[in-house]
Amino acid sequence: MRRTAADPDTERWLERTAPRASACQQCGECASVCPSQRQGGIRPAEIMARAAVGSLRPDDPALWLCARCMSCSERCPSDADPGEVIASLRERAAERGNLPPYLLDEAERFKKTALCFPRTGMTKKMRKELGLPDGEVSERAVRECGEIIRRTGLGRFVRE
Amino acid sequence: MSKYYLFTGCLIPTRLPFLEASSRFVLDRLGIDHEDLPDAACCVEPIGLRTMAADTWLASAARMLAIAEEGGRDILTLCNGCYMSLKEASHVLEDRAVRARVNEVLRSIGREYRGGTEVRHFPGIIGERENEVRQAVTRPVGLKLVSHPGCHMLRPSGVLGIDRSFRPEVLDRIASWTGAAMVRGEEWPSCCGGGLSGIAEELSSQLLAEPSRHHLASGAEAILTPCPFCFVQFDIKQKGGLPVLHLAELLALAMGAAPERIGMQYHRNKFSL
Repeated sequence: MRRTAADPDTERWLERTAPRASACQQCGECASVCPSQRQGGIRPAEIMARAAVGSLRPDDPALWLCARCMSCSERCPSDADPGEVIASLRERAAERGNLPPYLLDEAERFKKTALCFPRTGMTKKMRKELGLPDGEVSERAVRECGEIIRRTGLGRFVRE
Repeated sequence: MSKYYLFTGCLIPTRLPFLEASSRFVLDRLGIDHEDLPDAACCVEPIGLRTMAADTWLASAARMLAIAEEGGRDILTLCNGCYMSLKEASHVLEDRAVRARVNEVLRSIGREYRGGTEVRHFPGIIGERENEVRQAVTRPVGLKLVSHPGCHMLRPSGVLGIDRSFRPEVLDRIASWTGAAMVRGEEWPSCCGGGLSGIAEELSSQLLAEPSRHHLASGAEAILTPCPFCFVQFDIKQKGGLPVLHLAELLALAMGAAPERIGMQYHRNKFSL
């Protein structure tokens, strides 16, 4: 493992948001059960090792290759919760501009419509055919979610 | 028995409204008291969106828990993602200090969460109603099925509290009440790759291939899942695998719903009933 990418800010961030990270004993259970690692995606045990020595790279694109199946956290015998460590590192990564465009679109849709999938013409047609209520999101819900986004972390990523 | 606010989420009402139709049919047949959650919004999708900003997830989820608390009903989810998102939020919000911090945000929209809302998942409440389900079955289903619970019906098991990750059994048990024959599922059910869809398409397909191969070799005629994300992966993205049936569809069919009434014609990966 290279130790050239130490980032004290990210290390402090992790101490605050995922303090159990340091309980990792490098047993490798997470690596053995990770479906993404099996296909050449993210390597959770390596991320935990880096977290322990403060050698983290917030710009690592592999952070976004976790499917959040939570098998790693379920199997972790040390309660170090690799799945949440990765989630926490993603937030840090996003702050530094390392964010898949798909998720930025999703965040903007959430801000604009209070949903993360679009309601389309097909949606309305199918709902009508099935005799379901229109299911429009209320204006109040959109307004309240917008206010929450403005006051919390997602507000950093979406336009006003 | 409890009263619920039905929370349909984003994916089901927009892209898979037929799963909403079958779920509503089943809840009505079982006489489960439910109304739509007022002013519902996205649960804050727990795979991508939540990991961009944990505090946005927690406050948005708390907003809906507060609405349910005000109405005196628990929340009933239809989607594994919504269940994970809202259930974990209610768990984290049991901590008074965290709740106080989140309530500072909620105050700006005139709401407060005091910690009194239970979050339940469709397969969870169905699994507790064996007698009611057996009595409501009028047309037993003769299909041979293999279970695919989906990650967020199971994990983190300590918080979600429905089934275990190793050899889960809840779906098999429910399906057996409808007359379906269950073949053995995966010992540690694998991920459908849905969480990587749109982010890393090729990796997502590689993940999907694992359960797809297992299910095809299992001898089952169709895959049974309670999750709309897994449903989309198997119904649309899968190449040459078994067709998929949502848990609500299986129950609705067994309870006598006409296939076109619950939108079976909208399946892309067709199968004959």
